[in-house]
Amino acid sequence: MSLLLFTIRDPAALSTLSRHQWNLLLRESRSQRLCARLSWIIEDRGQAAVCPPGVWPDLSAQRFFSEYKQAQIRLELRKLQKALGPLGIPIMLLKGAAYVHAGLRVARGRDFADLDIMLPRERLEGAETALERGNWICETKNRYDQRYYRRWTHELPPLHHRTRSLEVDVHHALLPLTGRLRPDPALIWAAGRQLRDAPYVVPCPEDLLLHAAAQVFQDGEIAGQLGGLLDLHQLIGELGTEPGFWDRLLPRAEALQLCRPLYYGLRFTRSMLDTKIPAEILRAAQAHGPGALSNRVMGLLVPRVLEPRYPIRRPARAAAWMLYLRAHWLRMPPGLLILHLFRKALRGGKD
Amino acid sequence: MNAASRHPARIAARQAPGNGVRYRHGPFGIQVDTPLQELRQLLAWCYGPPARGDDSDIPRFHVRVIHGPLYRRPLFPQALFKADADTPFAPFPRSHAFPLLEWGLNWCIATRAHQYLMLHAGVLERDGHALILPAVPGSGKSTLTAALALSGWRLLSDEFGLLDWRGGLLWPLPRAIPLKNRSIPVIRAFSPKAELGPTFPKTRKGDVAHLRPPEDSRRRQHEPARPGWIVFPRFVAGNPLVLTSLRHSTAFTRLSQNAFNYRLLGATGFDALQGLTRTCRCWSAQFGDLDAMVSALERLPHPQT
Amino acid sequence: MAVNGRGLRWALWDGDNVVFHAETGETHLLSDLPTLVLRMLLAGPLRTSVVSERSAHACSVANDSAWRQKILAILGRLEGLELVERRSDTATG
Repeated sequence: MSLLLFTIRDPAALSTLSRHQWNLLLRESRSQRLCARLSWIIEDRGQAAVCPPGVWPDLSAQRFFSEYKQAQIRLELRKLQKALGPLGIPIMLLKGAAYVHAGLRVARGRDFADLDIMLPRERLEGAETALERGNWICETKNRYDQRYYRRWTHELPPLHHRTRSLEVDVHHALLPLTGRLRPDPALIWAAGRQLRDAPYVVPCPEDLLLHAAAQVFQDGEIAGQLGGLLDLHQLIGELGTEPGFWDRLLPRAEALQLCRPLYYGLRFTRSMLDTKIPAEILRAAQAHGPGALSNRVMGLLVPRVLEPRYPIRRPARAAAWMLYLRAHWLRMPPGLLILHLFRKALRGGKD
Repeated sequence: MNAASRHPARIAARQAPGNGVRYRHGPFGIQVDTPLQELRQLLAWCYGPPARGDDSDIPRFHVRVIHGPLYRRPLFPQALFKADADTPFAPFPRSHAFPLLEWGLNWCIATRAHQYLMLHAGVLERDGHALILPAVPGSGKSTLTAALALSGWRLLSDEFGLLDWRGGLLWPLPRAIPLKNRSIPVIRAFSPKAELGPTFPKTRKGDVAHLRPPEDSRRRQHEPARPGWIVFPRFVAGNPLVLTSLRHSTAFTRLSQNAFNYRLLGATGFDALQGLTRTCRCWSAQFGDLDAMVSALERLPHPQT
Repeated sequence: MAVNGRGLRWALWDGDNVVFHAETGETHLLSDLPTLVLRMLLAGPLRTSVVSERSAHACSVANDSAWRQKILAILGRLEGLELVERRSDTATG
């Protein structure tokens, strides 16, 4: 097993690592960009002192990236609120932004690629105009891409403010409109929680977890998503202690059509990260797994692409490619998929 | 290349924990895995024999310098720098593997060593006090750092001023000083003690030759120094020496723009820089003659202790 | 007018003041008068007329229209740096 997985499963075992194993652990964490999160896992278990000389300052110094990004996110949100608040358009925070503002421990040391928010679909046009007036600009110039976003996805083309670099993704649904699973945004809004100390709404705990699972197992390409799996692991650890969380989770997943990604999320956090999940929930979730063959194949592919492997190799190429195709298959009807991949290929693979 | 690299013997060699050479640069242990014999030789010339694999500590940076694509090997062989999963630069000609490795390590340090406020500066020490020479384009920072290192100052570092923001001390990172173009003959003429490596023509920064870090600086690479003076140098050919005392606020502002990670560190960087600026006397120095500048810096008023 | 966010850090040197603004991550170099204005607003939001009046008093100058223009210009610049922001509720002062 990879040393990073080993450590996440049982941080107390760090004191048993040899120098050589420490070296591998650090290399794995670096290539997965998980050093800062590892440093929090180590600190939470009081293991900082068992790190060999020089290791702790190095690991904990990687937290600056996350803190810098969190400050950018807070600033951007204040600006968005200033632009949209007067129009009475509510802002729901998704993913990392929600973790930060809800004060969840999973946010610590986390990498934030961009800022994700959701707006009510019927207010989207008004919001777009307000954001344009507020000097947010669209990054996508390409007309095909623009059309792709508007017609087929669950978000506007990425925006950023003229004077700031942070990318803002404005969603109106959790998952692409063309996908097989379409959780109803109205349900998510209805269950959302108003934050006490900021004028934003965050999804309820079950929805946070379901969305995170969908991120990894429905909307993404899985490969290189160990950070996403760690999100699930930590969210389960933190949200799972809320009274009634586990009773509400499966019914909620059914209501939002997210049983399958939840099944994968529970299965692979459990098998790879030894996440504490009530046995009856695991059993009940199994009813939502795929057919036997498909289940086997996922069981083979997913750990192969998620587990860091050394000496440095990319995540297994073929497995990653198959999961990439799968992600697109889940998002789009097959005819469209071929068209989209063809356009991507025409543009020299430029993403 | 695939068939060759999949050969069991090569895989074994790549995986063996003792493969590659280890060096220590100040606070950082590094491991370099490379099949390039010339590169290992230059490393040994510059930094001495490598540390023994098992008794040195865990490398902070684990890098590789490997062969470029096979099809280029017969006519234009290349070298490629890799740090874990990252490949920050396009390949270099293989004969430039040494500057490639040095720049690659700079990249590693600049993107990772945030337990320091990293000034882009040359740093030297005398009587326990550090002299900081921040770099701006055209400052002649490396030339001046090299000249001082050959004139009785202890070399702490040429590229990175590593300011420990917890304790406020500067930590050494004595590595080769890359001299560019005109600076190469200038330093040769400046001191017969200067040990310069081969000249690498036409790199992306012009012709480059490396000054070997003095023995003493390597031996004392674990001794930090207290900040004493900050001097912003500016080389203007033919001009007389002008040393001007600088306001603290000006020095602060200039350093904040000069440091690699000032913005990233946020409030921590601000506090560290304020502490640094407060304890130092700050100057700007315009010079046209290296010898005059070196002797002027020797006469700087002693910092308060 | 009100100070935008908390977490200002200062390095004060005679006549030049450096301030770090955690909210934007920016560092600014301010001379004495803008510093005075900013520190006044740190205590709580004020109307621009009050800022002008109090600063005139602190500097022992007349609070005439030239002074008011000057203070408005400073507030405008501080607003541009996002150090202060306009408040619609025109809080007390």
